[in-house]
Amino acid sequence: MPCTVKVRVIEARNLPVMDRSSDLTDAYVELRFLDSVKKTEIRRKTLNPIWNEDFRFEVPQDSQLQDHPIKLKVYDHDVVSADDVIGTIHVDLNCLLNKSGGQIAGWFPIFDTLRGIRGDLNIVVKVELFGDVNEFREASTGVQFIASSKPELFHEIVESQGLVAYIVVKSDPEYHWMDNFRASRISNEERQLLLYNLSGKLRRHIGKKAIEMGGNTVLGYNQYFDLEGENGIVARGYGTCCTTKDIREGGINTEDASPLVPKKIASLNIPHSGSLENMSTILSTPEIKDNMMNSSNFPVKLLTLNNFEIEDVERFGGIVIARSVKYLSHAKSSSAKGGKKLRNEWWQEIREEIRTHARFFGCDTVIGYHEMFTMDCDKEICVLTAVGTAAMMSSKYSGPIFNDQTSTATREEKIKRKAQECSNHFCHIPHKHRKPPYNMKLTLCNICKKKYVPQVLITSIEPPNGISVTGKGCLLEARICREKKKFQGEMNAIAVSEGLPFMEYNLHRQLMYKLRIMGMNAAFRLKMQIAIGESLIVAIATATAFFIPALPSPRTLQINRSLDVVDEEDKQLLAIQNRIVYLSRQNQLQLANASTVQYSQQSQSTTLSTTPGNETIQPALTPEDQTIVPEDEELKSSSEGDPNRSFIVEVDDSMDEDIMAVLLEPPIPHGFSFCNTETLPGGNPVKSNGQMITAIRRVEWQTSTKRMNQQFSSIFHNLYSTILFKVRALAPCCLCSLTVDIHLPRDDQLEITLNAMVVLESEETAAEEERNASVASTPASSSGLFSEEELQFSMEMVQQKKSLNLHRMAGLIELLEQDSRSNPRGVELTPMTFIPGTHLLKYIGRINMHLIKESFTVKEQGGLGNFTHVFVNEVHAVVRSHVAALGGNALLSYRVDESTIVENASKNQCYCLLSISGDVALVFSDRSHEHISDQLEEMSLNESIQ
Amino acid sequence: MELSRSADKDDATNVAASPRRPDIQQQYHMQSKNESKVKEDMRRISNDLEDSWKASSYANQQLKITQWKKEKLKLDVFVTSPILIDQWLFESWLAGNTAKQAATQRRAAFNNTTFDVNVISNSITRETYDQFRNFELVERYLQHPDLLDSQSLIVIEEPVFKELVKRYYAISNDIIRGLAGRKLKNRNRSSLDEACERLRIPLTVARRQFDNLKRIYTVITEKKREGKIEGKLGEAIQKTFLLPPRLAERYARNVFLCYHQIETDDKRLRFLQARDLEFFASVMMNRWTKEGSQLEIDLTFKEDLRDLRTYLLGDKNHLESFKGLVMESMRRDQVEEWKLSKLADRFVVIAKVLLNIGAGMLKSKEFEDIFEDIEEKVTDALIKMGMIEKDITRFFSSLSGQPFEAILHRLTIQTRHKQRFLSTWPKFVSALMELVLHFYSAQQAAVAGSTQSQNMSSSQGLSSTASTAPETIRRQQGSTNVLEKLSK
Repeated sequence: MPCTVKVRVIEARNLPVMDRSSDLTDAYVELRFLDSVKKTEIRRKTLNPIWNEDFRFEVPQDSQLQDHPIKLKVYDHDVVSADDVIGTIHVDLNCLLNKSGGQIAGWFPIFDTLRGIRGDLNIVVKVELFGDVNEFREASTGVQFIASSKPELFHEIVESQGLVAYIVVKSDPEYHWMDNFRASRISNEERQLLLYNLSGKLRRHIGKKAIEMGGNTVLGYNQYFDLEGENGIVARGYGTCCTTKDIREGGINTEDASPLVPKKIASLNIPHSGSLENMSTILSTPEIKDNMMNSSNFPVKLLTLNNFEIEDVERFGGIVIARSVKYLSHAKSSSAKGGKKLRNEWWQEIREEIRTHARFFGCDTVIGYHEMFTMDCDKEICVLTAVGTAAMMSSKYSGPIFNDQTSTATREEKIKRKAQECSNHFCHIPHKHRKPPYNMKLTLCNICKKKYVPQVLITSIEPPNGISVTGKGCLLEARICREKKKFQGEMNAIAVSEGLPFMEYNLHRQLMYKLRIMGMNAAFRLKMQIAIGESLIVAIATATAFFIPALPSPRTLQINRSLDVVDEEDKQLLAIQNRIVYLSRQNQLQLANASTVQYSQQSQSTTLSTTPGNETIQPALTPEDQTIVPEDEELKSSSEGDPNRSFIVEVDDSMDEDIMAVLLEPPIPHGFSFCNTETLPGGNPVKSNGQMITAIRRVEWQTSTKRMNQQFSSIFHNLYSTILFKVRALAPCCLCSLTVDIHLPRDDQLEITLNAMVVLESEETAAEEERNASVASTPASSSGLFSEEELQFSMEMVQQKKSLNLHRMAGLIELLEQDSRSNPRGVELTPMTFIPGTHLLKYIGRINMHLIKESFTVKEQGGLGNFTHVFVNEVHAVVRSHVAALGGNALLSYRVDESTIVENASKNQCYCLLSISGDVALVFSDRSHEHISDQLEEMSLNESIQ
Repeated sequence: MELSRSADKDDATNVAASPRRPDIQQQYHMQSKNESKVKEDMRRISNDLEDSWKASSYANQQLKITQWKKEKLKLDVFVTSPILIDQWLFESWLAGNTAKQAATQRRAAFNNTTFDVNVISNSITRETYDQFRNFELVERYLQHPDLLDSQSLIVIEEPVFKELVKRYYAISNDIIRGLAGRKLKNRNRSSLDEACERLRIPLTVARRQFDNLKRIYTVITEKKREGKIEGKLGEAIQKTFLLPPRLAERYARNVFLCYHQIETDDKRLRFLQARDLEFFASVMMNRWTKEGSQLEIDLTFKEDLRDLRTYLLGDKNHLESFKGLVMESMRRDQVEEWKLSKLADRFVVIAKVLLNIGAGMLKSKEFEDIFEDIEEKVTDALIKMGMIEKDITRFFSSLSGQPFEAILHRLTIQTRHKQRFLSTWPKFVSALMELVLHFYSAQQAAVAGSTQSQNMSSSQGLSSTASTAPETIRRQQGSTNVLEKLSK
């Protein structure tokens, strides 16, 4: 589809002084799109030049627009020497391609890779698309990319086709032979541009795949850059292809969305090639491979979505993980094309393995699926990881039933029927309890006392909307540090792959122990991170734990110590040990007294789901239920316990001791809470967003000590306590959507990158009342887009399909849009998919920002810390102004796709790369919503008068 | 069975280690039968949580048992969006502390709170470093607050930002006194060291004040050249630098003094405080300038005064008869006769001085010395005659009132000119009266504050002699208070 891009360069402000003699600047702008270059006039001797010049690029293929950004470079004209660069702006046009007539207008910070932000440039970019529907086109405009799991306002998922993924490999300009002598500014800029190209290409190809599959939206979209050094940059993108429809129109948006049978993306049996070692485990079931018993080979869908309604979940199978260690040197010699093929195969293998695991659970869907890539510090070997949750879902996610031929009922009916039988049906095991796929303990469901449930439930998704929760959830984090022998080359790969299962086992064990100490029986949003050093492997697993009434209450922890107490240190360890046992009991007590509430995410899909009435409400535990648990406890301790009921940790040697010692987490101060889910299950009601925090910490540690695990944990404890101290002014608050990245830049250095949203909570007492109220009445509507009546009102509007009403609604949205548009400083950045106290109006598009900053005078700029601090702030400034220029006022699902900080202290040099992505959205606050609904009423009044 | 029993034994051996444990343990065994006990236990737990900052010392204990040294931070960055500013640390930063010093002070400040300093010590240091980085980031916009709207680097609420600006531009009287009327050249900036040492003010603070004044001066004179100043000078500063009105007004007055480089450093003027000088500036700015160009004395006003001098000094008789008229009017006002006789001797000289001051405003060289002239040739002269406040008032009011009209009547000039002088002269004299009266009271206060007025006044300002002793500073500070009260 040919199209025209019009760029108007209006003015610049606050340019730096480039000419020392006059303290002024002679600026001009160079516009570059692909090979065509245009220039503005030179505005002499001013720091605030005004151009008001128009430019036009004619682009024969809109696919080019998807792949390449427009690059505007501001120069200072010099008569004698070459013109000096002031800075650059990249404008990614992807957000404009979904509809014709869109524009990007506003002030953009002029960013230089050596000097940072130097003034702003005011530009307007418009794209005009010609209507030309070509079957064989290269572009994939029209497909919406959203990082969160929820479609736009007034849209709902009709069908999800499954995983779409693509890989692009390009050689890295930093490793180009020319890099030895060209200026660092040039190679930095080239790298930035390449990252823009890569993210554009990824989206185009994934969009194309999505169209082929019959979808119109890619939800849960993720993009990563693996900087493999001399192998080049591998850009990976994956998401879930979905068909969404506008519930106002009742039709499907794209013209070519036909009810296709979902195409399988993966061919099933790809032979191993190029890989040296392929290792896999399923968490908690290392023996699963031997246990091959399920012969059926039904297709399994991989969905990257994380947020669901409880009605959509039929059964949870369990967490599925596949890992694979690859030796990168094999990939070295191959060309970029070969590299791409190779990596495609690697990922296909992993995905296939995940599918196999899911089949063992008897599940045909994997939800909360995500893929990770870890490289060791020499960039020699890498570990590919895929994690997901096997589940059985309603047909809009899973499609028609494959494995259950006997039942003719649709999935929805089945779920409904089950919901009537037991409100916590999703906890029930998906297979027959007499022949579980592997050896596991099952107990009867606490709610219906008929079906079997597992001891604990661990998933990689957000807690589904409507799940009942007892007490308050909390962050659960397991951290393992493991030594590895130093090897080179393939031997190293073998060493890693042999070490991984032990690490996995220990990680899991720690997770389970901690869960028990907390007295919880469910963990959601499990995320894992591993980092490989020369002689170390470290791993963390993060999740949010809480208590589900249907599952059995966890057994208390007991520690058996066969070691003698010799010295002072042992005594202290013993004290820790006793404290752990004590805490474990206390927590259980506390939970026994907590009330059950229905968890609900703030989401428009909750309230806009078609039938608000069908949500079955889980009644709070009756008083008898509440006392059952402690009585059990009493029984057990009086009868001196049956070993099955209490959970025993054996401490036989110093390694066990080390692992035991880290089971105790320091208490979190009053008024704070942590979770890596978007809202804390059972937490206080949230008021509004506080601060988004980003912390980067690099710690030097001792690698020779025996107490590696304790040291590792204490680094985290210190980080958390420092962060809490820094945000103490915001208490009571909750650190939501906590993501932690670990990285080993060197063996004796650990780097932690943490990102979280501090969400302000209302005061405890008020919270208590509110909670009581919500338990008594309607829990689900406590935090929805519209209040109950309004909801019905808007539902009515939808159902009756009054064109008049819709028209009015559209008008209102426009009104709101004008209302909400603001300056860049009003733009909120958040890693969550919503902003408390506001409502999502629409997704404008997804942006990717790739920025590099390098300095050769780090000490003069206040050291690496100061340099990074400024850079992160600058990146946020650039991101905010892009959001504002697109007409949004928030960036949701803020994510750091790639961050690299390299320091060369002896040369006084450092290099930072940050790649950030997120969904540009327009949100409106409750206050302006009231304002608008007043207008709505007024309008309807006027109409009725007429 | 065996297993759990042995675990219990372990508990028993360790009761001594943690004193709080036995009762809780007992309760733990009893509670399940008694619900109220459970509740009590719950309360205990929540109390535990409440004390949790202290409890997190537990983490530290855990640290102690391990063998490694304190972890070494290679890099620690903490960025919030929007930006968080800690007022306490900001104040410390403004006072010229380094991050290290600030952290030490902060730890001391936390000593009396519920926080356990040993536990949060590290956190305090980290926070201080983060905050100082933030301040450095914000500083550019504090220096140019008008850029706040056009930048996207810092997200900050305007009231918060204004508060920061206010503190950043805070004036300390001693420093500004030394800068008043000076050329804001870098040479003067480096000469601040001496004054700082004497006044025990950190050099960075003095430098910031110098830079602030200079920046405002530069921006304002630039604007004046472009003719962009509308309304009062203070309002212009208030708008450009987002300063509170009072502070902006103070800067406006000091800019005025610096613009005309009015001499304030003379020996005779050293007793004047910053507030006094600002008062003089405000009188001149409000009375003798036009709105919109408050930086310059009105040109026609100055020309009128020049012409008036020419006419009045043209004939010796004019001043003599003016003297007679003034005397008569003052006698009517019941000024004591002995004062009048002294005045009669000196009247012509004083009148000439006044006329010269007026006419001299046309020449910037002469205008620079206006304070000296008023102090030495007018105020001192009047005081020597034994005049006190009300006498001075009467003298000036008779100078501008009826007697002046009468003498003007006698001049053989066009009525057009007479009209000019009729409005100009009283405007000049009445403002001058305010100045002289203020000089008078300032001098009185200075004398009251110190018996050795000579010695005292020499310790004023930046250019004081090296002989200044600490006592005189203290004494001088005492007089400062009096003066400040007066100037208010």
